Amino acid sequence: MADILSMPLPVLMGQITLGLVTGSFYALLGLGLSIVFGLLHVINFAHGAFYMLGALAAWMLAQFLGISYWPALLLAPLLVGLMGVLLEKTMVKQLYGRDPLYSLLLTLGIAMMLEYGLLWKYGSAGMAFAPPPELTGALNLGFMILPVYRGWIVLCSVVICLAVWTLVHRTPLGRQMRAATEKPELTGLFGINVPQLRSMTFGLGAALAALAGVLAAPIYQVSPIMGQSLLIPVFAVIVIGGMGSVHGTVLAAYGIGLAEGITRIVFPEAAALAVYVVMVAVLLLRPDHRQRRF
Amino acid sequence: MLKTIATLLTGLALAVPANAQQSFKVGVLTDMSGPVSTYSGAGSVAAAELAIEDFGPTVLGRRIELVVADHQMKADVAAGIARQWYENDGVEVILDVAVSSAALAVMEISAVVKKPVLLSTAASSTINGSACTPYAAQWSFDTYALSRGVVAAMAAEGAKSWFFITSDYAFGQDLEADMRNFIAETGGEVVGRALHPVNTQDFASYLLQAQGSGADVVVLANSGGDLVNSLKQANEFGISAGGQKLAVPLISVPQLKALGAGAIQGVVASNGFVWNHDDATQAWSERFHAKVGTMPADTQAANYSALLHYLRAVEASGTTDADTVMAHLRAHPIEDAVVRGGVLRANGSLEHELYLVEANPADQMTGEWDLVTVLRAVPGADAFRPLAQSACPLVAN
Repeated sequence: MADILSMPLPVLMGQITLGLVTGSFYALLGLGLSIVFGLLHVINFAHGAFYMLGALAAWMLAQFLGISYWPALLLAPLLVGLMGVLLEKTMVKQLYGRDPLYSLLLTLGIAMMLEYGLLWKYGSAGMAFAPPPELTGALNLGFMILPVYRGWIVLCSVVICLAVWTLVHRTPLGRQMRAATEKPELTGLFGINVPQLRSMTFGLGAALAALAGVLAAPIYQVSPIMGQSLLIPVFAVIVIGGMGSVHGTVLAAYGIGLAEGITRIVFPEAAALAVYVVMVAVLLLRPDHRQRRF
Repeated sequence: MLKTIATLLTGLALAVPANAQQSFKVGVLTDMSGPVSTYSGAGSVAAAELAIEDFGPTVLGRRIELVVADHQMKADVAAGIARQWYENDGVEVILDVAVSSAALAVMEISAVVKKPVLLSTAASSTINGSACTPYAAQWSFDTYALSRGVVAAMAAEGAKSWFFITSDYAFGQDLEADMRNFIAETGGEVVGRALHPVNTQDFASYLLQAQGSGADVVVLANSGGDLVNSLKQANEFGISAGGQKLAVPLISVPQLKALGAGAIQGVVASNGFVWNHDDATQAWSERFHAKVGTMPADTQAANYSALLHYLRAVEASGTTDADTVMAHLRAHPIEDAVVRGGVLRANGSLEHELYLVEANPADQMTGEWDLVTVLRAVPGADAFRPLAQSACPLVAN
């Protein structure tokens, strides 16, 4: 393969490793988006804003309360998750049962208010956010220099993807969440609090986005509009993964990460396009694919 | 009640035209919330207010009124506002017009209506080249001036091989082309380049190539959020720690602040103004800080200088006629709290002293804004493109 691409092996290995890192990031972000769509049928355009709020919350915790990265990794998703629950209880839940277009417009509106409100307050240059001292430095893998922090992102992503999959598919709570989607009235008759489950699901989606935001803060620009450019490729990833399937999303995320890495070697200018080419191909070849549910 | 409203309305109807006649409108047109607002935006408006404070409240007996509009980084929106201001609202001069695409659009209108436009943020060298007009002035710098000082300084330190990470649009490509010429002049060699699209989140792949090339200098020829992301990640990949130098021709102090001291170590850049360079710049910057809460970017400071000298030129020539006022600006030295050794040239570029700066290591900073040290001041004549080489049709070559 290395010869076919007329590329020295170290370069190829380097790009593939980076592809895995990108994939991990897509997986983390896609996961929350995917469960919110799969379980609530809400196309959540505020996901990028929740991701931004996670990063911003970590910055605020550090700036105003002196709370370090490690507690923030838990606290920021918790805060944003609670906010997600609040938004669901006050606004999102009014639109269940309607065309998903309504919730799309609602969440898009929420995202714009959050992003531009914060932009007005904080400007676009962003805030400084240093990585925790334990995770600085870089590993020499022989074929490339891999910053320790990127390795940490891959590790987090794998652990969280497994945890969420287990939660949804292997626990009583997950079964109730799925049941509440399929047959809400019947599930209610069993004495299960369906509205509560739905709020929790939305909150979980928001918390996962916020967690990705905290993880991104040390390496990407922390600014009110940091989620905008990421939302669309992540949507493409969950479309490829089958809209609402946890393992489909995760597999698609890593696949796209690798595809981007390899495109960067062959035709660098098209790297950002790779995700959309795959999406179009998937939609054309397997149009029913996206209807697969949990 | 109705009567009160009617009286009020009549009052307003009478007051508006009277005011319009009396006030002398100057307009700041810029990006108020997008990526450029960090080094233009509200700070640019505050700098204009300081200029009015220093000049005095009236010019030619008319009260000076500052109007502000947001062009949202869109050239067509900028052109629409400029037309409205110049033709219907009686705005005498437009200032700033951040980003080159918007600036070029407004320049065309300014040339048609014959009213001045003073650009303090746009850096494209086309502005003082083929697109120059007698009514436009570029008050900060262009890509030529930004890159020349950086290349010369790094070559003097022994840099021989260079790698470009370039943003794939007019600004990035112009900057790279200009720098390649200077690099060739110093006998250096460009060993590689990576082009990236605008609004790239992850630069790992490009940085890996830069690292693999072993070049002495890695140039980040990009701007805005791309620049912040690439610098942050260059630090993560240990580009500086590995002995490579980072050259960033275009970066302002508020952006450096946003990156944080740890992420900018070893960065070398060109600035048109450095807030703590001397007592005068420091005193001015403290006033700016009191208004805005940040230290000024060089481009924001330039807006102060542009408006102050424009108002002086109007007062001295006793007219708002653009030809007269621009001729006055070109004939007199530009010197104030912000600009040193300024001369407005026939091609519209303000030749003045630039500063080659290096970011301070975190442990040597004396305060939160003590971000850079001036390596050397570059006289305007050395920094800017010689008029003899200008592509501007107004220059008699």
